[in-house]
This record gives sequence, structure tokens and C-alpha cells, in this order.
Amino acid sequence: MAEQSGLAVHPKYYGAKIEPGMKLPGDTRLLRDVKLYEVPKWLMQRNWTPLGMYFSLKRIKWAVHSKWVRKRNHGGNFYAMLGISLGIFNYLCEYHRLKAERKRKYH
Amino acid sequence: MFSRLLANSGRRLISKNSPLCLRVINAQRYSNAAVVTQATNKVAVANAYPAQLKDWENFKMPGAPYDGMGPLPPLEEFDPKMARHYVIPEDWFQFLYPRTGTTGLYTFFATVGTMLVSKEFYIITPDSWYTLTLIAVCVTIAKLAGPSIRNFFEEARTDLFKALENVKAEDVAGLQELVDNIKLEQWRAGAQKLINDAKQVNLAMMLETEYLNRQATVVETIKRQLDYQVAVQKVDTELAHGHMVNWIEKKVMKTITPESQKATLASCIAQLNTMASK
Repeated sequence: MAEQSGLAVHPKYYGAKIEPGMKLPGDTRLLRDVKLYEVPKWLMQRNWTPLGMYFSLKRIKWAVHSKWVRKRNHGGNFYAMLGISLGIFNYLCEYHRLKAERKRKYH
Repeated sequence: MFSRLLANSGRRLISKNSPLCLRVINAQRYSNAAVVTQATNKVAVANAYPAQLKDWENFKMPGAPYDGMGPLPPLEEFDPKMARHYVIPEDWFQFLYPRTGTTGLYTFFATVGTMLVSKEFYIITPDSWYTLTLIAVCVTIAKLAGPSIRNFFEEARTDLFKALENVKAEDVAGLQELVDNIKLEQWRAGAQKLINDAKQVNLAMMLETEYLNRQATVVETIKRQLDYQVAVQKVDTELAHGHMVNWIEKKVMKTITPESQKATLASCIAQLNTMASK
């Protein structure tokens, strides 16, 4: 399972021995490999409890870190990407305040 | 009872300036159980962190909450080619490559960007000028001063490691020199072996010659002795022979008379005459 790309490689979850209380998602295919008509079914199968959402955030964090930060002599790529994504997120949050500064009448 | 209590209360009248033997005896007498257990616990804890960790792959950190927390393999080397233009991951390009080719993602960004601007999802404000200048300034600073800053921090981090490695390298070089010297001495000792072999051959030859010489002397001495005996015998026979000849000659000369001499002469002449006539 851990050999597939896209999954975070941390021995806590994908090591030789997996903790008994911690369960991986049953369907570990990548989203690009899930067919369109299977997507609602796949969505219902995910763990939408608060703990499940927390685990998903943890998986995302470990994925990004394993790829960009947990390397020898890594650069500032992660921090630049983080800055840009935070800028975009801030723009999305502030968009409804910027609507007044639009110039065109019809879009 | 109270005196015994006082005696065994543990109040020590011995200080650190007392003689060592008294302090040892006092400690043995008034040792607390807590101190003893602390000592044993310390020993148990010390053994959980052994000085030489041989089975490091199966080592379990004491107090670790889960397996796999132990020593992990070393991290991979970072490849700057993973991100194009420093912020766009290469995987995004590869995702669109089968359908669109190399320029897929650029076209995607261009079209999506024009859509956002034209539909005014991205609104051009004075802030957009600030963002562009900020990006330009950051990029110029990174390109001009980035490598030098990176090198500065890398040197600050690795100077110690390099120094230690140099120390190790020097030690290794010294030991290698030692090993080479030892090998040289061994080779030189091997040369001594050749000299010893040659000497042995010489010795064997000398012994052989001496043996032959002595054999020859033996033969010569025996021959001389035998020759002496032969010469002695010869001399004896010569003496006897000569004596006998002289004696015979004497006897014969005694028997020779003038009458017999004439008779023999006449017979000889007659014989000669007969032989001449034939």
C-alpha cells in the first residue's frame, strides 16, 4: 500500500506493524484511478467523523512533508508553495470585499 | 527502647572529612532502602541504553508509544528538478503530458488565467501591482543572493563535520602508512630468506667439496701406504735377485777353466761353419 505514490510514507501508519486502533481507508486507490460513476460511492466510503478528518489532515501533512521537507539538503520550495497557497486562500476569503472594485459591468 | 531508637535513627555523626573507612562503614550501616532501589533502577535504566547498540534495527526506544519509532533509514537526497520554476511540481506536468504534451500545463494556466481575469474572478487592483513587484523582487533576490546565503549556512553547518572527517582521514592515512611500512619490512625479511637460501647452497657446496677432498686424501694415503709396501717388496726381490745373480755368476766363473773354454770355442766355430755352408 505504501509503495503507491500519493500516500504518505510514515512508519506509524504504513510500517511493518500497524496500530490496532488506527484503520486505513478501505479503498486506497488514488482519486485519479476512481471512475466518475464510482465517485459518490467512494465519497460515502470515506471517514467523515472528526477523528477521520483529523487523520486525513495528518496524512496530507505527512505526504507533503515526505515529498518536500524530509529530504537531505531540501530547498525553500515548500515554503514558497506554502506562501503562494496562503495568498490564494486569503484572496478567496477576501473576494466578496473586492467585488466592489470590479471595472466591467457585464461578465 | 528510646536509646535503641536513637542509635538506629540514622543520624550520622560522620562527615565528609571523616576517614574513608569510617564513612564506608557508616554508609553500610545506615543505608536507606530508597537509595538501594534508586541504584538498582539506575542500573536497569542504564542497560536500556547500551553503550554499543549492535541490533539497531530491532531496537525499541524505552517509552516509545509504537513500533517503527526506532532508527529509520537515512533521508533521500533532495532533487531540485522536482519543482519547475521553484514552485510548480513536476508531477503536474507529467499528469497532463499523455494528453497535451510538454506545454500542457502552461496552456492550462494561461487559459485559466485569462478566464479568471476576463470574468473578473481575479480583479486588477493596485494590490495586483504590489504582488507583481513583490514577486519580481523576491525572484531577483533569490537568484542573486540565494546561492551565497545557502553556501553560508551550509558551511556553518558542515565545518565541524568536515574537520572531524579530516581528522579521521589523517588518522587513516597514518595507519595506512604504518601498514605499508609493516609490509615493506615483511618484504625485506623475505629478501633475507633468499640470502639464507643462497648461504645454504654455498654451505652445501663447501661441504661437498670438503667431503671429496677428504675422500681423495684418504685414497691417497692408502695408496701411498700400499705403494710403500710394493716398493719394499720390489726392493727385497731386487736384492734377492741381484744376490742370486752374483752368486750364480761367481759359481759359474769358478767352473769356467781354460780347457773348457777352448772346447766350447771349437764347437761354436764348427757350428758356424755348418750354418755358413747352408
